[in-house]
Amino acid sequence: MTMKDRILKKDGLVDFLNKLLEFLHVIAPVGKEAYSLYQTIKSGDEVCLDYVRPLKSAKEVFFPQNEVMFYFNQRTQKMIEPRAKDKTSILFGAPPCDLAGIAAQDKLFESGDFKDVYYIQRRRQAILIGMGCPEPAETCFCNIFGIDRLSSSVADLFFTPVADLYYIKVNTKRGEELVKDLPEAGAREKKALKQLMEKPVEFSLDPISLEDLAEALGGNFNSPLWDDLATRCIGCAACTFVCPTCHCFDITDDTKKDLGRRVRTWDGCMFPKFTLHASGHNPRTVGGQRMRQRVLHKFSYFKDNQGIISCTGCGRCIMVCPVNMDIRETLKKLSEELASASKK
Amino acid sequence: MEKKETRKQSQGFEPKIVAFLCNWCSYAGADLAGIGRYQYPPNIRVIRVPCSGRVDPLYILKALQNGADGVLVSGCHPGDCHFIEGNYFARRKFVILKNLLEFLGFEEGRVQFSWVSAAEGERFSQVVKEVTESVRKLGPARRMVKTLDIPEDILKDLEQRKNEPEFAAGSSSQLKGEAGV
Amino acid sequence: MKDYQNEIRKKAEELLKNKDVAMVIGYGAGSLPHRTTPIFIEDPQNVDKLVLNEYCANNLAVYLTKLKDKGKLAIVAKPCDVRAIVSLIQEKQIERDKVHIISFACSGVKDKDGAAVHPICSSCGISIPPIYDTLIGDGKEIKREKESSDPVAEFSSKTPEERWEIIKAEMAKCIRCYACRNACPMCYCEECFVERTLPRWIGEGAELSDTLIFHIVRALHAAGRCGECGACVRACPMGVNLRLLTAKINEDVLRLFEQRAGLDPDKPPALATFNIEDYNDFIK
Repeated sequence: MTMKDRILKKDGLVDFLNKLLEFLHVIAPVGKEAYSLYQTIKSGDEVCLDYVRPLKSAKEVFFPQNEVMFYFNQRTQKMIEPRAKDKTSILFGAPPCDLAGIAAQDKLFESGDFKDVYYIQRRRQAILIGMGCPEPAETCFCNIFGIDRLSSSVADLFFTPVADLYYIKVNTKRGEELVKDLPEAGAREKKALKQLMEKPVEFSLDPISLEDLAEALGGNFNSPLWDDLATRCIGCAACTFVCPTCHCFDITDDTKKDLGRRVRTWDGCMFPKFTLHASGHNPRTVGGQRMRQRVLHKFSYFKDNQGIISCTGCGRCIMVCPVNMDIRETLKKLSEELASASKK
Repeated sequence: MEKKETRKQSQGFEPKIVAFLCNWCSYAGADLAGIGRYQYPPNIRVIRVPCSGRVDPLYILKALQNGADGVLVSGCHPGDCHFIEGNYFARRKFVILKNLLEFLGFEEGRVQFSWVSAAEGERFSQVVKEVTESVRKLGPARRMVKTLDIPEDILKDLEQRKNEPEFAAGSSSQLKGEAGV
Repeated sequence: MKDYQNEIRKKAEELLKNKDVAMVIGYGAGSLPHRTTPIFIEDPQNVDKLVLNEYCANNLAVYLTKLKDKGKLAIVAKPCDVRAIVSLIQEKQIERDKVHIISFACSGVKDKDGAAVHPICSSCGISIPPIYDTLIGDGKEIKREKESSDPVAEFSSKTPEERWEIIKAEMAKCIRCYACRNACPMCYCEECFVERTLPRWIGEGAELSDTLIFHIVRALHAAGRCGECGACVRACPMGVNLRLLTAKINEDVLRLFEQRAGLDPDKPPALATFNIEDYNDFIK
């Protein structure tokens, strides 16, 4: 049986969320001074949808910056994991770029031989409610990855703001449970949605051939272009930490006498000591090497290993970079220069 | 403030104070206090450093992070530093640190400094008495403390020895099984 | 400041053509409105990429320690950036004759919204460069609208509990990306204390205690060396109010040691020297 699309009047959103809050955790964008962040809300009116996307991506919901893997006692040799949350979480208001980021992290953490139990535990019990973007922001370039700003199959429910209401696309049974009491979408609403989807919008980056790019990247490992690009980069992790797909982490133990805990924390490949080995050798001491690794990993290696590009065009990295490094310019430059270099 | 004092005293709150003492003056002064049998509260834990100038503000913060209720740094009197100038540099560092911590909302008196010479055994005991009492009045330090934050039930669970031999061969639990524990 | 752009380009071309310098570090057009980006010109034909406008916010002195092996460097520097260069010279990180400073009297840079002059610029104590090799413009001080309130005094007037709550809230914003540290020209240590693992001073994740220690220690390491350029504040993606710490320390250094960082290349930094009569009352 096909699941029927629903509608919700915009001024009914707060009540809708309050109803969910009665028996579920809800994480949604909350307004701060100059941006919004995904946070657990206690009431529907805390939600702020003024910004195109929250400043930090949704990855911290399933892959938190600090995660205790287990507690241990070295004397008794016991290891115990933290108790899992009982309540189901709803992630509300994620734009398609963040949803695509979640899809990329799903591939990484869930597929293959090694399944990340910590990620899976949080991810599997969560219900995702996406939010469409009527207009792209200045820094958005999700278009070049084929990401639709007005729909996403990753989400259980997808809200698109149309006129004075939200058009709700129902993708899964779990999602349907939450909206089954809302009015169904009629022909008029469907038409309005179609009109919105067909309305032309301008993105900051024209589509480039990612296939050509991946090939060119692979063939130009030793290009001096990497060092040129990296001169500006100051080696912080601002881009890494706000990125929806970046997933590098470090594992450390905090101990106090016999007791301890093993903690997983975010790490960044742009840090100079990221690849420092226990032997003292560091294969990536030069900025150009780290820049090359970052770009190649996102646009070539990840595609080879997981089948998708590890970038969703959300544009956060461009917004936060202290020296205005712009991945769009990098991609354009690389496409042109490396493609012509390959041809030689 | 009065209420807090009484409660703490009746509960017997014993502050933990980390004392960085310079080897040549303050540590020797502390030693002299011991020789002279000058009594002072046992709340201080002494860390001997070659010079007060060696004390990095990072050590003081780390002590607070690890649960110290107070930190004392003590060195030679200005002009008498074994390394000539170490304590002069230290003096500048410490005033900046102290002012910054108080500016950020730390209680005044958590971090204290003194100049105690090798001949000042009795004075050392006096300084420690003063510092201990003032830190006791402030109560336990909570601002910067970092704990493992282990939930109570898990903590209890961790105390019990493992019974099932889940680990590889050579596990101590197997041996214990044989011993009948 | 826009009139200076052509002069800077001319000077850069001259320096590169005559091989006086190996590279010119300056500002180029940014990819976002109200932004510029650092650029590195080695070919005199590329000098037209250099710009100068009210969005030239970055402190380019941060690249001097990284690029000194290239040879003599020319750098476009606002007066506050020159303070950082002076501090680097004081600490022997670069030699005076290995850097050609192109500076000018500054009217302040705008914040990322392009609206007003950045608050840091409003309280700037120096709008003409302390030293320079090439002065663009007449070098006369440009009057600026001062800040309506002193953030340090305002913060000090609160109770310790109120201050602690504000600090906790600010530290909670921090994601430990180290953009502040990396944007600061004075943070040039090859191994930062946060990267030390034996012993491990602070943890990696964003726990309040660790984050607080990072910011306190970084501010203390910059004591007497911080030129109040605001690079750290501007670099922070989350808008953490780092100015509270740096402004407080700079105020104390001025009041207690009568010194401001980065003004005289022949003087040592405030915490690398001492006075026998230094303030002593806080010590038992």
